[in-house]
Amino acid sequence: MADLVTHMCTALLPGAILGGRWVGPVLLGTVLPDLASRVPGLALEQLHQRGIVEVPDAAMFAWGVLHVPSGLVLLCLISAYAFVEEHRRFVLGGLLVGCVLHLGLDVLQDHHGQGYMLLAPVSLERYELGWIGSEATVTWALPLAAITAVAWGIRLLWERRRSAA
Amino acid sequence: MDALLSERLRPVVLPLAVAVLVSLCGYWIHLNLDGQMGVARLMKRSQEHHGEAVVLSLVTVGALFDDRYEVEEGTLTLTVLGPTDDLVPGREITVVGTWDAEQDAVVAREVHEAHGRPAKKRLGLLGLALTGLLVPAWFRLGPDGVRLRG
Repeated sequence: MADLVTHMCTALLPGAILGGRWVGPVLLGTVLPDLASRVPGLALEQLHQRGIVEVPDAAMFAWGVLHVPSGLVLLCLISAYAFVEEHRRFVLGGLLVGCVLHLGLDVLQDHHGQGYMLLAPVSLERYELGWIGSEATVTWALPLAAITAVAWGIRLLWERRRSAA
Repeated sequence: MDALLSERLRPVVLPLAVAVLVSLCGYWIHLNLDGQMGVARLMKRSQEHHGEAVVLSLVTVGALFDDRYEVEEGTLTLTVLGPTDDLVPGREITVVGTWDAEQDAVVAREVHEAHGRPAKKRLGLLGLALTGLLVPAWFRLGPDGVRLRG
Protein backbone atom coordinates (compact mmCIF):
# COMPACT_ATOMS: atom_id res chain seq x y z
CA MET A 1 0.00 0.00 0.00
CA ALA A 2 1.09 3.54 -0.57
CA ASP A 3 1.90 5.85 2.35
CA LEU A 4 -0.84 7.94 3.90
CA VAL A 5 0.63 11.32 2.93
CA THR A 6 0.66 10.38 -0.77
CA HIS A 7 -2.91 9.11 -0.48
CA MET A 8 -3.97 12.45 1.00
CA CYS A 9 -2.24 14.37 -1.79
CA THR A 10 -4.34 12.56 -4.40
CA ALA A 11 -7.26 14.57 -3.01
CA LEU A 12 -5.51 17.69 -1.76
CA LEU A 13 -3.50 18.55 -4.88
CA PRO A 14 -6.48 18.49 -7.27
CA GLY A 15 -8.39 20.23 -4.50
CA ALA A 16 -5.94 23.14 -4.50
CA ILE A 17 -6.43 23.55 -8.25
CA LEU A 18 -10.19 23.02 -8.48
CA GLY A 19 -11.38 24.12 -5.03
CA GLY A 20 -14.80 23.20 -3.68
CA ARG A 21 -16.48 21.56 -0.73
CA TRP A 22 -15.87 18.09 -2.19
CA VAL A 23 -12.22 18.20 -1.08
CA GLY A 24 -13.01 17.38 2.56
CA PRO A 25 -15.10 14.25 1.91
CA VAL A 26 -12.73 13.00 -0.77
CA LEU A 27 -9.76 13.60 1.56
CA LEU A 28 -11.46 11.55 4.27
CA GLY A 29 -12.18 8.86 1.70
CA THR A 30 -8.51 8.64 0.74
CA VAL A 31 -7.47 7.91 4.34
CA LEU A 32 -10.48 5.81 5.36
CA PRO A 33 -9.29 2.39 4.08
CA ASP A 34 -6.01 2.52 6.00
CA LEU A 35 -7.53 4.29 9.01
CA ALA A 36 -10.17 1.60 9.36
CA SER A 37 -8.19 -1.50 8.44
CA ARG A 38 -4.52 -0.90 9.27
CA VAL A 39 -4.57 1.30 12.36
CA PRO A 40 -6.60 -1.04 14.62
CA GLY A 41 -4.68 -4.10 13.39
CA LEU A 42 -1.30 -2.44 13.92
CA ALA A 43 -2.29 -1.19 17.35
CA LEU A 44 -3.43 -4.66 18.43
CA GLU A 45 -0.30 -6.21 16.94
CA GLN A 46 1.90 -3.85 18.96
CA LEU A 47 -0.03 -4.60 22.15
CA HIS A 48 0.35 -8.34 21.49
CA GLN A 49 4.03 -8.27 20.50
CA ARG A 50 4.97 -6.16 23.54
CA GLY A 51 3.13 -8.58 25.81
CA ILE A 52 0.74 -5.93 27.08
CA VAL A 53 -2.39 -7.78 25.98
CA GLU A 54 -3.00 -11.30 24.74
CA VAL A 55 -4.83 -10.58 21.49
CA PRO A 56 -6.90 -13.45 20.10
CA ASP A 57 -6.34 -14.27 16.42
CA ALA A 58 -9.92 -13.37 15.58
CA ALA A 59 -9.37 -9.80 16.74
CA MET A 60 -6.50 -9.45 14.28
CA PHE A 61 -8.35 -10.84 11.28
CA ALA A 62 -11.53 -8.78 11.39
CA TRP A 63 -10.13 -5.56 9.92
CA GLY A 64 -9.02 -6.78 6.49
CA VAL A 65 -12.53 -6.46 5.09
CA LEU A 66 -12.37 -2.70 5.66
CA HIS A 67 -9.78 -2.42 2.89
CA VAL A 68 -11.87 -4.12 0.18
CA PRO A 69 -14.58 -2.36 -1.89
CA SER A 70 -17.56 -4.18 -0.35
CA GLY A 71 -16.52 -3.30 3.19
CA LEU A 72 -15.62 0.26 2.22
CA VAL A 73 -18.97 0.93 0.55
CA LEU A 74 -20.72 -0.07 3.77
CA LEU A 75 -18.29 1.92 5.90
CA CYS A 76 -18.83 5.03 3.73
CA LEU A 77 -22.60 4.60 3.97
CA ILE A 78 -22.43 4.28 7.75
CA SER A 79 -20.08 7.27 7.97
CA ALA A 80 -22.40 9.42 5.83
CA TYR A 81 -25.08 9.08 8.50
CA ALA A 82 -22.90 11.11 10.87
CA PHE A 83 -23.67 14.11 8.67
CA VAL A 84 -26.82 16.20 8.52
CA GLU A 85 -29.35 14.86 6.06
CA GLU A 86 -28.89 17.51 3.38
CA HIS A 87 -25.15 16.80 3.14
CA ARG A 88 -25.24 13.00 3.23
CA ARG A 89 -25.43 12.26 -0.47
CA PHE A 90 -22.61 14.70 -1.25
CA VAL A 91 -20.45 13.30 1.53
CA LEU A 92 -21.12 9.69 0.55
CA GLY A 93 -20.12 10.47 -3.02
CA GLY A 94 -16.94 12.17 -1.84
CA LEU A 95 -16.01 9.32 0.51
CA LEU A 96 -16.52 6.77 -2.26
CA VAL A 97 -14.39 8.78 -4.71
CA GLY A 98 -11.67 9.01 -2.07
CA CYS A 99 -11.76 5.25 -1.50
CA VAL A 100 -11.49 4.66 -5.26
CA LEU A 101 -8.45 6.95 -5.39
CA HIS A 102 -6.93 5.04 -2.46
CA LEU A 103 -7.45 1.60 -3.95
CA GLY A 104 -6.41 2.84 -7.39
CA LEU A 105 -3.05 3.93 -6.01
CA ASP A 106 -2.58 0.73 -4.00
CA VAL A 107 -3.29 -1.48 -7.01
CA LEU A 108 -0.46 0.21 -8.96
CA GLN A 109 2.05 -1.41 -6.63
CA ASP A 110 4.02 -4.65 -6.83
CA HIS A 111 3.37 -6.93 -3.88
CA HIS A 112 4.88 -10.03 -5.48
CA GLY A 113 1.47 -11.37 -6.37
CA GLN A 114 -0.15 -10.55 -3.02
CA GLY A 115 -2.34 -7.78 -4.35
CA TYR A 116 -5.79 -6.69 -3.29
CA MET A 117 -9.02 -8.69 -3.13
CA LEU A 118 -11.14 -6.24 -5.09
CA LEU A 119 -14.07 -8.62 -5.51
CA ALA A 120 -14.26 -10.01 -1.97
CA PRO A 121 -16.31 -11.68 -0.58
CA VAL A 122 -17.50 -12.98 -3.96
CA SER A 123 -13.95 -13.86 -5.00
CA LEU A 124 -10.69 -13.99 -3.07
CA GLU A 125 -8.57 -13.42 -6.18
CA ARG A 126 -5.85 -10.83 -5.64
CA TYR A 127 -5.21 -8.04 -8.13
CA GLU A 128 -2.26 -5.75 -8.63
CA LEU A 129 -0.74 -3.95 -11.61
CA GLY A 130 2.81 -4.09 -10.23
CA TRP A 131 3.86 -0.84 -11.94
CA ILE A 132 5.67 0.60 -8.93
CA GLY A 133 7.41 -0.88 -5.89
CA SER A 134 5.48 -1.20 -2.65
CA GLU A 135 7.61 1.50 -1.05
CA ALA A 136 7.98 3.67 -4.14
CA THR A 137 5.71 6.44 -2.87
CA VAL A 138 7.89 6.98 0.20
CA THR A 139 10.48 8.77 -1.95
CA TRP A 140 8.08 11.26 -3.41
CA ALA A 141 5.69 11.71 -0.46
CA LEU A 142 7.35 14.71 1.14
CA PRO A 143 8.11 16.57 -2.13
CA LEU A 144 4.51 15.92 -3.19
CA ALA A 145 3.27 17.22 0.16
CA ALA A 146 5.41 20.33 -0.26
CA ILE A 147 4.03 20.97 -3.75
CA THR A 148 0.52 20.44 -2.40
CA ALA A 149 1.16 22.88 0.46
CA VAL A 150 2.47 25.51 -1.98
CA ALA A 151 -0.55 24.98 -4.24
CA TRP A 152 -2.88 25.53 -1.29
CA GLY A 153 -0.91 28.59 -0.26
CA ILE A 154 -1.42 30.07 -3.72
CA ARG A 155 -5.10 29.16 -3.68
CA LEU A 156 -5.75 30.69 -0.27
CA LEU A 157 -3.89 33.86 -1.28
CA TRP A 158 -5.90 34.09 -4.48
CA GLU A 159 -9.19 33.58 -2.63
CA ARG A 160 -8.29 36.23 -0.07
CA ARG A 161 -7.49 38.78 -2.81
CA ARG A 162 -10.66 37.88 -4.68
CA SER A 163 -12.81 38.40 -1.61
CA ALA A 164 -11.02 41.69 -0.81
CA ALA A 165 -11.60 43.03 -4.34
CA MET B 1 -30.18 7.71 -3.03
CA ASP B 2 -31.64 10.63 -1.08
CA ALA B 3 -34.37 8.32 0.21
CA LEU B 4 -31.78 5.76 1.30
CA LEU B 5 -29.92 8.46 3.26
CA SER B 6 -33.02 10.14 4.68
CA GLU B 7 -33.85 10.44 8.37
CA ARG B 8 -37.04 8.53 7.63
CA LEU B 9 -35.16 5.39 6.56
CA ARG B 10 -32.19 5.85 8.86
CA PRO B 11 -33.63 3.59 11.64
CA VAL B 12 -33.73 0.78 9.06
CA VAL B 13 -30.78 1.40 6.75
CA LEU B 14 -28.13 2.27 9.34
CA PRO B 15 -28.59 -0.81 11.58
CA LEU B 16 -28.84 -2.97 8.45
CA ALA B 17 -25.59 -1.56 7.06
CA VAL B 18 -23.85 -2.08 10.40
CA ALA B 19 -25.18 -5.63 10.62
CA VAL B 20 -23.98 -6.47 7.11
CA LEU B 21 -20.56 -4.97 7.83
CA VAL B 22 -20.23 -6.87 11.11
CA SER B 23 -21.25 -10.03 9.26
CA LEU B 24 -18.58 -9.38 6.65
CA CYS B 25 -16.01 -8.95 9.42
CA GLY B 26 -17.19 -12.22 10.91
CA TYR B 27 -16.90 -13.92 7.54
CA TRP B 28 -13.37 -12.56 7.17
CA ILE B 29 -12.45 -13.94 10.59
CA HIS B 30 -13.93 -17.31 9.60
CA LEU B 31 -11.95 -17.41 6.34
CA ASN B 32 -8.73 -16.84 8.26
CA LEU B 33 -9.44 -19.17 11.19
CA ASP B 34 -10.64 -21.88 8.79
CA GLY B 35 -7.40 -21.59 6.82
CA GLN B 36 -8.98 -20.41 3.58
CA MET B 37 -6.93 -17.23 3.33
CA GLY B 38 -3.95 -15.50 4.82
CA VAL B 39 -0.88 -16.92 6.41
CA ALA B 40 -3.10 -18.97 8.73
CA ARG B 41 -4.08 -21.22 5.83
CA LEU B 42 -0.57 -22.70 5.78
CA MET B 43 -0.83 -23.67 9.42
CA LYS B 44 -4.46 -24.80 9.45
CA ARG B 45 -4.40 -26.75 6.19
CA SER B 46 -0.75 -27.63 5.99
CA GLN B 47 -0.91 -30.77 3.82
CA GLU B 48 -3.36 -29.18 1.39
CA HIS B 49 -0.86 -26.46 0.55
CA HIS B 50 2.25 -28.65 0.39
CA GLY B 51 4.41 -27.59 -2.56
CA GLU B 52 2.39 -24.44 -3.16
CA ALA B 53 4.09 -21.19 -4.10
CA VAL B 54 3.80 -18.79 -1.20
CA VAL B 55 4.42 -15.09 -0.66
CA LEU B 56 4.74 -13.89 2.93
CA SER B 57 4.23 -10.19 2.40
CA LEU B 58 5.73 -7.72 4.86
CA VAL B 59 6.27 -10.07 7.75
CA THR B 60 8.49 -9.19 10.69
CA VAL B 61 11.72 -11.10 11.25
CA GLY B 62 11.68 -12.84 14.64
CA ALA B 63 14.15 -15.34 16.06
CA LEU B 64 17.16 -16.34 13.95
CA PHE B 65 18.74 -19.80 13.87
CA ASP B 66 21.50 -21.38 11.76
CA ASP B 67 19.54 -22.27 8.69
CA ARG B 68 16.09 -21.06 9.53
CA TYR B 69 14.28 -18.14 11.06
CA GLU B 70 10.88 -17.18 12.32
CA VAL B 71 8.66 -14.49 10.88
CA GLU B 72 5.65 -12.91 12.49
CA GLU B 73 2.44 -11.60 11.02
CA GLY B 74 0.01 -10.29 13.57
CA THR B 75 -0.23 -12.96 16.24
CA LEU B 76 1.05 -15.75 13.97
CA THR B 77 4.60 -17.07 13.76
CA LEU B 78 5.93 -19.09 10.82
CA THR B 79 9.23 -20.82 10.23
CA VAL B 80 11.19 -20.02 7.08
CA LEU B 81 14.05 -22.19 5.86
CA GLY B 82 16.85 -20.18 4.35
CA PRO B 83 20.02 -18.18 5.01
CA THR B 84 19.89 -15.71 7.87
CA ASP B 85 23.06 -13.72 7.20
CA ASP B 86 21.41 -10.50 6.11
CA LEU B 87 18.41 -10.68 8.39
CA VAL B 88 17.82 -8.46 11.40
CA PRO B 89 15.11 -9.20 13.97
CA GLY B 90 12.36 -6.59 13.90
CA ARG B 91 12.84 -5.69 10.23
CA GLU B 92 10.06 -6.28 7.72
CA ILE B 93 10.66 -8.53 4.75
CA THR B 94 8.74 -10.23 1.97
CA VAL B 95 9.53 -13.90 1.50
CA VAL B 96 8.81 -15.70 -1.78
CA GLY B 97 9.06 -19.46 -1.56
CA THR B 98 7.30 -22.78 -1.31
CA TRP B 99 5.34 -24.29 1.56
CA ASP B 100 6.79 -27.54 2.87
CA ALA B 101 4.18 -29.32 4.94
CA GLU B 102 6.67 -32.02 6.02
CA GLN B 103 8.86 -29.44 7.70
CA ASP B 104 5.99 -27.10 8.57
CA ALA B 105 7.93 -24.24 7.05
CA VAL B 106 8.32 -22.03 4.02
CA VAL B 107 11.37 -22.82 1.92
CA ALA B 108 12.56 -19.37 0.89
CA ARG B 109 13.53 -18.72 -2.70
CA GLU B 110 13.71 -14.91 -2.54
CA VAL B 111 13.78 -12.47 0.36
CA HIS B 112 13.11 -8.79 -0.17
CA GLU B 113 13.74 -6.41 2.67
CA ALA B 114 11.23 -3.60 2.89
CA HIS B 115 13.74 -0.79 3.33
CA GLY B 116 11.14 1.92 3.10
CA ARG B 117 8.86 0.53 5.82
CA PRO B 118 10.13 2.57 8.76
CA ALA B 119 9.80 5.76 6.70
CA LYS B 120 6.37 4.63 5.52
CA LYS B 121 5.23 4.17 9.11
CA ARG B 122 6.46 7.65 10.00
CA LEU B 123 4.58 9.02 7.01
CA GLY B 124 1.53 7.17 8.27
CA LEU B 125 1.77 8.92 11.63
CA LEU B 126 2.30 12.26 9.87
CA GLY B 127 -0.73 11.54 7.69
CA LEU B 128 -2.87 10.81 10.73
CA ALA B 129 -1.76 14.04 12.39
CA LEU B 130 -2.42 16.05 9.22
CA THR B 131 -5.84 14.48 8.83
CA GLY B 132 -6.73 15.55 12.36
CA LEU B 133 -5.51 19.09 11.66
CA LEU B 134 -7.17 19.45 8.25
CA VAL B 135 -10.58 17.92 8.92
CA PRO B 136 -11.94 21.04 10.73
CA ALA B 137 -11.20 23.05 7.56
CA TRP B 138 -14.05 21.28 5.77
CA PHE B 139 -16.29 19.99 8.52
CA ARG B 140 -17.87 21.36 11.67
CA LEU B 141 -19.87 19.66 14.36
CA GLY B 142 -23.39 20.97 14.77
CA PRO B 143 -26.16 20.06 17.20
CA ASP B 144 -27.80 17.87 14.56
CA GLY B 145 -24.69 16.24 13.13
CA VAL B 146 -21.55 17.02 11.19
CA ARG B 147 -21.87 19.72 8.55
CA LEU B 148 -19.80 20.70 5.57
CA ARG B 149 -18.41 24.21 5.81
CA GLY B 150 -19.20 26.75 3.10
